Formats: sequence, structure tokens, C-alpha cells
Amino acid sequence: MQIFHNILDGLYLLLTLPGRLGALRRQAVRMVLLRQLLFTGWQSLPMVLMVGTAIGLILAVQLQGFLGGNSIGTLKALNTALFLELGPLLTGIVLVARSGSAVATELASMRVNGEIRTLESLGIPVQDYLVLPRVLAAVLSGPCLCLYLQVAALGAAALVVLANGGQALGSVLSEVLSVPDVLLSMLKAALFAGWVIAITCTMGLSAGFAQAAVPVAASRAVTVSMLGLFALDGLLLLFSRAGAALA
Amino acid sequence: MDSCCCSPARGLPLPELRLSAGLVQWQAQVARGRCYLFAAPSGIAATSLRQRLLDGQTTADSSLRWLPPLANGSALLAPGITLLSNLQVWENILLPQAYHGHGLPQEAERNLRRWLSLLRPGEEPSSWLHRPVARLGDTERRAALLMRALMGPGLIILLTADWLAPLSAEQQRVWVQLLVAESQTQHRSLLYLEDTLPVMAEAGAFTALQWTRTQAEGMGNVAAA
Repeated sequence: MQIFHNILDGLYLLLTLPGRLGALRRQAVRMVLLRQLLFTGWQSLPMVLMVGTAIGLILAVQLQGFLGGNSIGTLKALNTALFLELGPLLTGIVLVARSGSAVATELASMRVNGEIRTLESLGIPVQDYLVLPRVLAAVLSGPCLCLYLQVAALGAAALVVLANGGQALGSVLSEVLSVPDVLLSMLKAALFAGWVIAITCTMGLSAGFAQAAVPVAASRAVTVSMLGLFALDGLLLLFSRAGAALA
Repeated sequence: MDSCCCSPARGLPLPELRLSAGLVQWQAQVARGRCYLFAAPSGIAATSLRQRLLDGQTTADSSLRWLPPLANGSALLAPGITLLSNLQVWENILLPQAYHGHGLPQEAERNLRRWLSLLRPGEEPSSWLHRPVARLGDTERRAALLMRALMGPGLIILLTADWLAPLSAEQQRVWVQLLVAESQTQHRSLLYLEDTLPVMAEAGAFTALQWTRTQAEGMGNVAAA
């Protein structure tokens, strides 16, 4: 039940953030946003590329065996899996593991050390200065990271296909890639990224005041945001299937 | 010591100040650029008062409740008020200014250098200002906190004696003089709890000031200098 409340708190935070965008007029908030973009968007890139490459290689090898060396079938299946499901989901998992845990730890430490109280005493709203830049950086970085992951996975898969004597790479990719799918996956990635970082921010800020509360908050934040991520993905899948059935 | 502090000596009056912490309540009109002493109301010990207002977990919420009326972020120089660990010293000092967007950068830099020469004599400014907070000693942290308080936009700085206690007598004298002088130059108010009085007197902060004291609507003792 507590986890459900935490997930809803994250959702509430995410939904109320657009009303706080005016805080970006402040130089101090923009500085935090730039740092978070660097941390979440740029420094996550090697990890995202490695995950994408590994997923592309693994899936391509398995699918090639399953489909009997059918290169177009392999890349089509991979395309469906990557752009409709795996890309945004894996990006969300990478963000939870890397940025989410860091955000929860940082905010919980700030609370334990009295830094949150200090900010409030300086007339600086925590939601504007700490939460908005972190969630916004995730929302902006998520689609880019997702695209990098998908490109890395497709590239790795294409290499497997070529190594097994498949068709010319360009013609295969132009056949399987679809712009609406790419855009949809980027939109999903933005939603997932904002969702998980909003949950981790909530968990970090609701930590206790003892030092022991920091690892507890970080651990709970990762668990809850991961559950929230899968729950949201499941709900989106359910709604899209229901929509398709009604249409 | 018996006249009311409600008529502002200079500048515009601030909105009516209401302090509330559990059972304790004050009500007073605060004027810019003046020093105020908040004494514990009868029946409530000063330590209890400080605990309620400033210390730790159990009083965090009640202390924050009276902060907003102190007009756009008052600066607290009290235990529990810290620097942000993920920023460098200069970023901490300039944070209130960068967030609230007041003052000119050139003026801020000039003030910073002047204050630094008083608070950290012999220190090379740029290397000190670019240190991470984790590498600062206790006195250095307090110096940064004091400069942040002076740099901030708040009209009120609140000072407690236990915040000053770890400093040497000479440092206390210099720091309090700087605090009082800058508060008056900037037309800000300086609030402090009653037990700060000996330190303030030692620093000669009140020699040119006339003391008044009032019972604000029967709820607490307020003194203004």
C-alpha cells in the first residue's frame, strides 16, 4: 500500500511540474538544470550505448537462429521490440539504476544534513530548485538516450545480420524503420524518464532525519520507481491494445 | 527599555511580523535596518525557545512556519543551517542572489572581497571560494554562512549565540561588528535571541544605539535597538 502511495506521489509531482516551469527564469535553477542534463543526458551515454549494443547483439543472434537466418525478419522483429517496448523501458531502467539512485541519495542526504531546511530558510522552494531541474533533465534526456540505445542496438543487430550474409544494410533498415514508431518510442521514453525521476525525488525528500535513512531511501526509491516503470508500461500497453480493439 | 518598537526608525515598515512556534507567539511590526532582540516569554526557557525555533527534527516544521512572514527569505545564522554540500563555496554564497535575482554582480564581487578580507584575513580569495564545502573547516563554513546571509535578499538576519560560540573572542567581535554594520548599511533587520546580548555588547555593537523594549500585545518581549 505504501508503494502505491509513493507511486501516486511521483505522479502528482510529475503532473504539477508544468506549473513550476516559470522557475526556469531564475539563473540558479537553470544552472542546476544544465548540471542535471550533463549528468543524466551526457554521462549516461556510455552505459546506454553499451546496453543497446549488448541487447542488439543478443537479440539478433537469438532471432537469427529462431527465424532461420531471415535478415529482414530478424530486423523487423527487433525493430518492433526495440521501438515499441524495449527502447523506452531499457532507458527507464538505466535511468533508475544510474540517475534515480543518485538523485534519491543526494536528496535524502540533503534532508539529513539540514540542507533542505536551509534552502527553505533562504526562501528557495525545494520543488523549484531541486525537483524541477532533475525531472525536467530526465524528460529532456530520456528521448535522446532512448534513440541512442535503439541506434546502438539496431547497429549491433545489423552487424550480426551482415556477418551472417544478410542483405545490404541500407535497404533493410529503410524497410524496417518507421518514423511514427521512433517518435512514439521517444515520447514514451520522456514519460518513463520523468516518471521514475519524479518518484525518486519524492522518495529522497521524504527520507527520515537519521543517517541510516539515506541508504533506505535510495533502496526504496530504486525499488518503487522500477515497479512504477513496469506498471506504467503495462498500463500503456493495456490502453493501446484496448484502443486498437475499439478502433 | 519600555517604549514600543512599532514605529519604524527609517525606511519602509515591513509587513507585520508574526512568529509562531508551538505555544509561543509574537506579534510585532519590524522596521528595516534595526536590531531586534527576541527574549523568551515568561514561563518558557530560552533553551526551549531555541529548540522550538531552530533545532533539529522535532522543531523543523514549527520553525519553518514562521519563516515565510520574515519577508522573502530571512537569513538564519543558527545551528542546523548549513551550506549546500553539492556546491562550491562561491556558489553557496551567491545562491540567494542568483535565485532571487537581486543586486549587481560587480557589487557582489566587491562586497565579497571586502568581507573575505575581514573574515578570512590572509586568505587568497579565488582558491578559497572555489573549494568544495567538504574541504572547509568549521570556522570557514561559518564565514561562508555569514557572507551568504549578508549577500542574501532577506530583510532580516537572525543570529543565535550558540552559532557564534565556537569562534574566538576576537573573531566574534569582528564578525558581529561586520554583521551589524552591513545590516544597517543594507537597511536590513538583525534579530537575535536574548543570550546573544553579551557577545553583541562585547563587540561594541550597541554603543551608538538606543535601546527600547516592548511587550508586543502581551505575547512576548521584543527589544529593538
